This record gives sequence, structure tokens and C-alpha cells, in this order.
Amino acid sequence: MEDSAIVELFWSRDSQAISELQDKYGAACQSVAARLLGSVEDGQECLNDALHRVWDTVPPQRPRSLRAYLGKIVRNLAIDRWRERAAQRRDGEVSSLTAELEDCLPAAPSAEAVAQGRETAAVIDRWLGTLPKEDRVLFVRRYWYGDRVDELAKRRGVSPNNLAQRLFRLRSGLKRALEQEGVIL
Amino acid sequence: MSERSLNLLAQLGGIDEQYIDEAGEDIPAKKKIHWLRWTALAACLAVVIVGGGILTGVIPGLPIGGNTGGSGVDPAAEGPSTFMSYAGPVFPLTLREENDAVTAERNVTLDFAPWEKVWDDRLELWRSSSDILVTDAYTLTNTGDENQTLTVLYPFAGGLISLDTYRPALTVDGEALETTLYGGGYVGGYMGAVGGDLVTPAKEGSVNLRYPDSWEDYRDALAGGTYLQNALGDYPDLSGMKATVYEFTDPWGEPEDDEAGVPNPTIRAWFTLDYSRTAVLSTGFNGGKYDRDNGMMGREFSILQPGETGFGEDCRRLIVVGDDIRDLTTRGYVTGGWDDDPTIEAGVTVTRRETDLEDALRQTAQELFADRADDERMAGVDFEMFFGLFKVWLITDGPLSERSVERYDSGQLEENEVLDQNRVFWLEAEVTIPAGGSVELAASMRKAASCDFYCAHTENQGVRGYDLTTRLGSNLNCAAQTATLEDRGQIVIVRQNYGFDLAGGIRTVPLTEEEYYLEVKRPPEG
Repeated sequence: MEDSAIVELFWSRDSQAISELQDKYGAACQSVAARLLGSVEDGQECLNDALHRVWDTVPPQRPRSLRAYLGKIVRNLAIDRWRERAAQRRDGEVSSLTAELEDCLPAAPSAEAVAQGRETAAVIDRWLGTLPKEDRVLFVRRYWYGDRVDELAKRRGVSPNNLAQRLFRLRSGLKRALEQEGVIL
Repeated sequence: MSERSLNLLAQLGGIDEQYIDEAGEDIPAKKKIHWLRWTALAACLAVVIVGGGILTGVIPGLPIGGNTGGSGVDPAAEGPSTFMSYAGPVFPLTLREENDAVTAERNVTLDFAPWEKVWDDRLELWRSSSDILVTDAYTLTNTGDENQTLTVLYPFAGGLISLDTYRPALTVDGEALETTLYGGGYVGGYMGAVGGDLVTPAKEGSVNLRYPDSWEDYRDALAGGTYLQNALGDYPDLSGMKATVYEFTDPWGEPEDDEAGVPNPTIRAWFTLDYSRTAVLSTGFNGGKYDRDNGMMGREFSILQPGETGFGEDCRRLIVVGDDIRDLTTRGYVTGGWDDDPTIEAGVTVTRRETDLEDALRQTAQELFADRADDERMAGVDFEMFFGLFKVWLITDGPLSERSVERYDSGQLEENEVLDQNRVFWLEAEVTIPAGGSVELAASMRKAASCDFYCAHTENQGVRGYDLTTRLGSNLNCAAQTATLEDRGQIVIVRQNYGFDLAGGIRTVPLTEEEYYLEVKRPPEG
């Protein structure tokens, strides 16, 4: 079923919308959360919660891409859940991803830069737009979808070491972009 | 890890949808079109291997395909839910051999003690489990004039990897029984591929596992007794089958260097073979290419770089079953894949030895077993059982099977799922009942819940299911059966066919049906 048709089901408050959404994007979105949290069960629960939130927010929202809409919610829930585990053992891909993203953190910005600080995601969007498609997809697959390095390497026919180097270069590029645009984290 | 990097990870979630969709189309690579399916080869080999009568032991005949399962419950229909994750039923005790002199009375207690929340000092949170404790107790009475020594078999569902948690303990009159464990084959089937984007509906085929999702799947597996016979019998003996093992060690080559145009230094091995008479199993190889028309096959692996796991210690292996391969050559390339890539200076030491398949597979199985050694759940897994079931997998589902299971058609032995597959196990023990006397035999165990992952059927959110069978696979003359519910105030009953009535105080009920289901959830907070 097309995304637009599923959105119409949501707008008409037809619970079939949830089934359709789950059937179409549930597995992919659940796997994002499961990878981030290192737990299939947690991933399932995040998806479950996310489907409810979609039900609660559509309408009034009318998402253009249901994959992105559901995925963002699932991803945010997974990160929230990971934060809540402050007193617990932290595993899952979030640990690896955040360790890698340390490379991207901009230096403490000047007051002037702070004044020019912009929304981080918008800066990242612009930076992504400058990348060749292959690099952009690689970055998003790693840091948005949470794909493992060895999976990405296998998919591209390169060694994990090689892929890690490419990711390092991309992170360095993002760091420069964030610093140039005065992003505060 | 810092809070700043976590913030960045979170804010990355807000990137433009077009980039999310774009990357969402980046699906895992499918085999290229010039890759020939392994299944046809496996089928040919199965004729050679199985039809040749070399194997000993019993080869299980398992169902393939079947229903595609599903989740939730039709509110308009009566009966149990079909859960997405099905834990299998509690089975009744059975005997190796029927014994008319022995009768039994059975009481099964379903205890929800693990549902009670307990404070975890280390994690500083309240924890609970959706497991329950099951005590499956039998009063075995010898109605004859002579003492009776029985070989009892207690079945339970699970996987090798979960034995440490869910293996029952048997007692007689309170004393622990020494038991022997037997494991059956995979209970379940296969289904077609969900698209690489994980959203395309499943099609016909056998790329994915179709897990058992109801007690009927277990009933079907046990029907006719062959499954049990296989489990109690010897594992296949492959020592009568010739195998030629090629080991690839000490690979070397130009270092990985993107700027020098060597992104992934790779060793490719090429050889010729008769596809109708040879199967090639492998460990340690990353990919392969099949040219059936010209009787050629290629396998490849990346040369590990300093600092990579296994560097300097890795051993890749081809296990050739049937006629040997010929004209083996190796060459280095700048990258993986099978295009006309530039070559590099590279090499590898190749040794060849002739042995039997049993020996070749044992060595490989030991390595695969060792690879999982860090998993704490391996504590309950015996290598010999793993190896036996590994061989069963190989010839019933795996690349030497005649069943053409696409999931395993690459010949890569790392793809086996022996540790995780759903099976039925039996615990065997001897019990003596004096003439005219009785003993109390009990099986005590944790039992996992069946549950749904998603909320396609929102009425099933938080619902956990526990199934019980009364006669399935049992030859025991059971005169009466009852079930007792120890709810501990932790549950409300959503669906059942037992007849429990918590409000009415009915917690012990007689069992007369073949199968019982109990679906419960936590009562609302407050």
C-alpha cells in the first residue's frame, strides 16, 4: 500500500493503518532500534511504542515519508531508552556510535559563533548534501540506521578496516562543517 | 562516550527525510546474477551422498514450508492467539516402552513467581520476568505384582542455546534424578524472502526461517514417532564419506591502501569441478562465484590487515565432498567482488589432505563452537550434541541436503543455526516402582512465555501465553490430570480454556482436552 493511502487510513482513524504501517516499515524500523539498543526485545518495544505515537500524531501530521516518520520516532525512542539506562549496563550499537561521533564534536565555539549557531540537523543536512551519494548513504546507514561496520563493509565488498577509514574521513568532514557553522552540542 | 556525542547521535535523527529514504534503499547486496544457486548442486549431491547409503544413523524427515504464521488473535474467533514468538507447550511425560502395569496421575502447577518484581541492587531498578515456573508432577503407580523399572522420557521445547535456563530438573520422591539429554531436529520450516529493504512481503521460497508458532507445529513434528526415534538414535556417521580438505593459511599481499587503488586486498581461489559429483563446503571465505556451465568455481577472502581480529592466525578451509576439485589456483586482487579487477602481489599457503567427512566436519564444528564460547548461554551446551545436530543440519537442511533450502545454499558452514533452532529435547532417566507401590516424579523448570512483538493486534499488547499438552507424544497411561495456577496476584487472565476463575477462587482444574492455553497480562497499575 502506498504511503499516502496509509496516511489516509490514519486520518480516517482506521486501525488497519497501524497494521499496514507495521507490515510495510515495521521490521526495518524495529531493526534500527534493536541495533541501537543491542536487544531485539527492546527494539520490538520501541516499535510498539512508536506505532502508538504515529496513531496519536497522524492526524494532525501528514507525513510525506512514513518510513522516515516512523523511523525517526523509533530511533528517538531507542535513544531515550538508552539514556534511561544510565544506571545499567550500556550495550548495543549506541555505545559504538557515540564513541565514533566523538570525532565530530566541534571545538567549544566562540561567542560570535554561538550567536550564529543553527539547528544541528539542518547543518548536517547541508553537509550531507555536499557528499557524493555513496558517502552520504554510507554515513546515514551507519549513524541513522545504526548498521554495523562489518555489515556495511560486506555489502560494499570492502574490508571492515577500509570502511572504518572511510567513516573516519566522513566524521572529520562533519566535524569541520559543524565547527564552521558554529553548532553547539 | 559523552553526553555531547549522544546529543549529536540524537540530533542526527532529525536529518531530512530524503536522505533517510535514500539510504533506506541501500539494501543488502543480493547475489549477483551470475551466481548459480547451490540448491541444484546440493540436490545432485544428496543423491550421491544419501542415496549411496554411506550414512548411518537415522536422518530425520522434517516438514518444510507450511503456514506462514502471524500474530495476534481474531477477536471474532475463539481459541488461542497465534503468537509471533512461540515458546512451545509443556509436554507430558512418556516412556521408552509402554508399560501396562503403570498408571499415572498428573498435576501441573503454573507458578507466576518470576512475574513478581524484585529490586536489583546492582542495576538499581525493579526487575521481573515473563517466565513462569512449571512443576509437572506425576504419581506413578505400579499395579502389578513385580517391581517395574521404567525408562522415562521427559520432553521440553527449546534451543541448544537456552538449555542452561530452561532445562528441567527431574526428581523422584524429592531426590534428584540423573538424566541423559537427547535433542531432536529443527521444528519449523522455511519461508520466502522478505525483501532486502525488510518491507517487501515474503514470497515463496526458503530463505527465512519459519518458526513454529503453535502447539500443532510440535504435534506435526512428533507425529508418527520418527522425530523421537531420530532424537534417541545415533547421530549420522559421516566417516564413510571421503573428503578432501584444502587449508589456506599465512595469506600475504600488498597492504590495504585506498590511494594506491588497493581498497580490499583479496585472495581468490579458482578451481574446476564436476558439479554433479562434488560439493564444496567452506569456512572463512567471504564470497564465491559459480560457473556451472564451464565447471568452475571461485571462492575468495580478504587478506587481514595488521590489527584486524585473527591477523596472522586465520585459517580458511574448503571441504570438498565427493570427487576432488582440480586445477586450483590462487591470485591476489585489489578488492573483493568478481569483476575484472587489477591483480596484486599476494599469496597464500595451501595445503591439501585427504580424510573423511566426519573428521573434516568435527574440526570445523569445534572452531564454530569455540567462536561462541564467550556467550554465557553456552554453559548448558555439550559439544558432542552440537556436533551431532550440526551434522543433522548439514544433511537435512544444510548444503548437503536434498531439500534445497535456499538459506544455506552458499556452502558456508558459518551459516548454520544449530545453536538457535527450535527443537524438542528429551531427558531420559530410570525410575523403579515397587510392586503395588507408587513414586512421585516431578519435572521442574522455567518456562518462557509466548508473545507478540508488535501491536498489529493491539488487544494482545502485554499478553503472554503458556501452552500445555496432555497427551502429545506420550504413551503413559494417565488416569487423571489437573492443573493448578499460582497466580500470586500478578496476572489477569485474557484468554484460556482451563476454567480457572481467579475471582471465584478456582485455581485447580481437571484436564481433559488435548491442549490447553493460558494467556495473561499484568493487571493495570494502581
